[in-house]
Amino acid sequence: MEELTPAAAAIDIRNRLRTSQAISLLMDKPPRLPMGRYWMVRLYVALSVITNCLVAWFEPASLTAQMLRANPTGWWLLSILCVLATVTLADIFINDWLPPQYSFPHAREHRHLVYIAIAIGTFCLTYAILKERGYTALLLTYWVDAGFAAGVAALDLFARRREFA
Amino acid sequence: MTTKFLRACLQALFWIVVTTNFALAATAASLAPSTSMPLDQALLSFVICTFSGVAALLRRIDKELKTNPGPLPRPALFCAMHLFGSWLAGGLAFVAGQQQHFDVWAEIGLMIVASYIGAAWVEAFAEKLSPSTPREEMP
Repeated sequence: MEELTPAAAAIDIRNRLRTSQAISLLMDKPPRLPMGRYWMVRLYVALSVITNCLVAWFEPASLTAQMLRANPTGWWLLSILCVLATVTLADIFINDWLPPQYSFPHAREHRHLVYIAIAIGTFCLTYAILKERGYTALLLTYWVDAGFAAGVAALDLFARRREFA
Repeated sequence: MTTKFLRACLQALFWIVVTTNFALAATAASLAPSTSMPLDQALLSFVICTFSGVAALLRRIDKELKTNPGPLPRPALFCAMHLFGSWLAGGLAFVAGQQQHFDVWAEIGLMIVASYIGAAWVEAFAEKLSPSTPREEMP
């Protein structure tokens, strides 16, 4: 076998180490946080969206219900928001609360997109209400929720990537 | 040199956004006096466009941090690229929607899609001009 110089040997060891690390990264599941960050805020955002949908469904005098009577296409947006909120709840339940052997990796990997979609959807809902009825201070509740959703999307993305780095 | 050139491009882009939107708004107001462009809707559409640009930005940051964990290269420029693109395209979409009296959902959809594509397009354009700085390899 060819004798390696010390420098070449060092490079060889480094390359082997790199390969073994790459293999272990490929084989192993990504490390898991002991308790997901911001799960309480995420739970609040999901429950708030579901509450808004239920209020629109069961309370005809609500702002959303009045807007939906004039623009029935908005039910599609409300349905999409409901689906996103359900995905969020499943993410919190499986990835944060259940033991580590249970995981929902797709929801965890694309969590930031789900939350930013919730924020955009909520703003779209208020845009339709604004166009239909004009400004009312009741819209502030939607905007606060959308702001929280966008904030948690950005914070969670950075926290997750920093944790896995 | 490349960073200076990119900054100049972004400054030019910013003024294009501002002047184009003002020019289109003024044209809309002068050609169709009955068409009012309400300030509250304009502000909310600005917020929607910003959030759509933020969605493109978060997607890009996620991709960047997945491949190269560590601090982002030139984060201010990184954000500005996306937001200017989304404001430019979203502003134009809003003005077009108002002018053409689109349905509210068509207007919202147009704004979201336009601002997302605008953010992605400007980011791709800037990346072509000045690729991300090469960072040290992972150990």
